[in-house]
Amino acid sequence: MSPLPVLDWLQNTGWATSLKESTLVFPLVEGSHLLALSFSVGMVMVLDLRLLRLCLRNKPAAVVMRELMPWSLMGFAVMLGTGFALFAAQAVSAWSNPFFRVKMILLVLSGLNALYYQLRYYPRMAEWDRDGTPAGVRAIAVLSLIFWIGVIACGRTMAYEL
Amino acid sequence: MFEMSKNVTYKGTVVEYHLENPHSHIIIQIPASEGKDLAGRWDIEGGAVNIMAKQGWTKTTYRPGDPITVVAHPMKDGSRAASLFYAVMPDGRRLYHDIARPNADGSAPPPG
Repeated sequence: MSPLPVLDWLQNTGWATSLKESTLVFPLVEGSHLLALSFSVGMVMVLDLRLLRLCLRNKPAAVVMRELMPWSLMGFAVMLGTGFALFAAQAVSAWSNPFFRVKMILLVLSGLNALYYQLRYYPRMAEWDRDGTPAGVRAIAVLSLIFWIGVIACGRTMAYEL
Repeated sequence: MFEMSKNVTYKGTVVEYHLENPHSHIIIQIPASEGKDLAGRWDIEGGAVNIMAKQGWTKTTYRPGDPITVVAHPMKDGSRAASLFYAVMPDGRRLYHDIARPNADGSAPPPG
């Protein structure tokens, strides 16, 4: 079943149309999306670098994670909300944009990557952080960096095609 | 993706006029009398609403069916789309896409 009728309905809702035609709200939403990105992805990247022992080496990884993740999640919530609004303003053309599709795939991969970390490595973080970072954790950190750089590159590139 | 150093004049009729975020689009139909290189349907791409509104563009600047003349930078790949430079209004005034640019001969843009 094609999602196009639903996307067409979405972009023609009153609020999505107002956003599309607004002079001020759209740039504010767009700007918030990017500012939220710096919190959300920025914090994740610092954690990834810590897991690779490339920064904050004298702080336990568990402490770094506990300090950074609330900021990251707050940023992610804003990013998700503003991202959905931006998508709604141009749902049909965004959906047919190849960069948008790759971006969504990378977001899902990034989520699965983080979920796997939570299930497999997070519970015994203090232990392995002291005895040596498992190769699996390093791989997850590298993948996370690649996925998020890909998400940002696709997000930026899709805007040229709208 | 646009040949920014190339200015082409497009004269036709407005088919669709969308003053929209993130980019505005004016779809124009150019008659066969303009020659085969120009004849057909063109997508003239503008900027965000905020940027264009500052130049004086409004939701009613054009309506479908209006005659239109725009100067725009064509796509490098030759497809029928172009980046708006300015529109020439019926009174000869130029309505720029974003900041008022100098004229092609280097002179200052018209005031307003």
